[in-house]
Amino acid sequence: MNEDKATGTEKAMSIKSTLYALAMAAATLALGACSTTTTIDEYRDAGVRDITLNDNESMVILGRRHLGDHETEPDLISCIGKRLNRKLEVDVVNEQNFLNQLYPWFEPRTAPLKLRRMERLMNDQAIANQIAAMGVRYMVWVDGNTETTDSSGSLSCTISPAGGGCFGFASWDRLSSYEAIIWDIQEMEEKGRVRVDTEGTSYMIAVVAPVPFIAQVQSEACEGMGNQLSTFFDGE
Amino acid sequence: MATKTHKNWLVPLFAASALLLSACSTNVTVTGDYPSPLAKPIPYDVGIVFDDAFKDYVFTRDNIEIKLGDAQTRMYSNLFSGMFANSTLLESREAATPDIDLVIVPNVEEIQIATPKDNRLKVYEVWIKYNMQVYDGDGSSIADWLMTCYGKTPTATLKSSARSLNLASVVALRDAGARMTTGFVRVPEVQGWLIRQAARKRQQPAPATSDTPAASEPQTQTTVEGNHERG
Repeated sequence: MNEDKATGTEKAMSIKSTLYALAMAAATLALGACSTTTTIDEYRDAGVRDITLNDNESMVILGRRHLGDHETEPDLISCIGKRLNRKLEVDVVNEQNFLNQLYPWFEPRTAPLKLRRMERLMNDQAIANQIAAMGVRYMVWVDGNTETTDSSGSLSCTISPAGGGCFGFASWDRLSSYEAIIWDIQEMEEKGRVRVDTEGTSYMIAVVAPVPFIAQVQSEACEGMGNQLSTFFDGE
Repeated sequence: MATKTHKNWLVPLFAASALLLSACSTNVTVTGDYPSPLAKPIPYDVGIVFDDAFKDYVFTRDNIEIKLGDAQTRMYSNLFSGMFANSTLLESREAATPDIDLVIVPNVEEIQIATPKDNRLKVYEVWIKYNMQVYDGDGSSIADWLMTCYGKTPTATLKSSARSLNLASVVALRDAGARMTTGFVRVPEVQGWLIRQAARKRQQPAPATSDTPAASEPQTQTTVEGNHERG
């Protein structure tokens, strides 16, 4: 009787340790699966010092949307703006608000691609006055996008009167690639550039219910871009 | 009795079929922000005619339906109110009063859309071709300007095809506003009309009661309004 009890306890211990090992493996897989790699490049002229924003000055982050094959996502622009606002405690003008106030001069068709064109836009008194009223001194243009570069595996789901479920394994690689250019529109000069490339692999494992392990590629790119841009400004 | 039972079955069957069919279709009523343009107004009074076909315009293709009429009417109303010194909504071209210098009648010539299934780019695209009919105050035709505009969504996955098509349509409408603001005075026929008007006003003698010769100043700027170029 005592022997039986001991064997039962051993069995329970064994199941417990197996479950623990499985849980640890799943956690490790989840952490490993969601890892991302970020590469940041920065360019600034040797003479360019940290930018100081006065109390009445603000900046705006704008996405490039003139190309046919991609356009910079508005939620990434908003994410970078929030990050800069938190890190530097500076006023970052909302992108959509800026576009509406200066409509139609910053639409995909009309937005200035180069500083020379921006200078010509600023010769228009109405545009210059509106930008001055918003207190915008620096413009950060972000160009790029996030896309799926590769995918493999297969996953299938079935539904029947008796029930349903999924089975399979799928993985996909995503790459976020963005470049930001900082313009000082008072001095009409470029202050620097930041390039961020983030890649990561996401997985989906399905045994009855699908369990996704998603690599947060775009938010990592946002964090990298926000942190690096903040080094251009005073306070870092 | 058997027939009655049959009928009882038909109602839920039809309801289920209708539900399934509607689940596959995409219905969009376009909504968005259409601000007034930030531009020096062209110093003329303009009358705008939105006919019923324009105001109630609905695009349909396969199972996709885009109600564009209300949105484009709002966009052009805001646009023209900022683009010209004065803009008046007219019931028809014939309703133009003598103080109106130009009458503009926008018409939708063609709309094309592309979904990720069509373009394999993971974006939704909308093209709109407008025919902007421009008449002078006397009702004579000045120009038939075919103006195309384009809008697309970012490659990121959006929640639904209805939301994506709305976004692409809003971008296309805003593009139409940008195209109109920057391109209207560059249409050769419109440019010719503006030059003729400026010359006519210059030739008119200054009013006898006027003490200053500044009355004809605004016309000298009419041909350069909105002439920003991409760079």
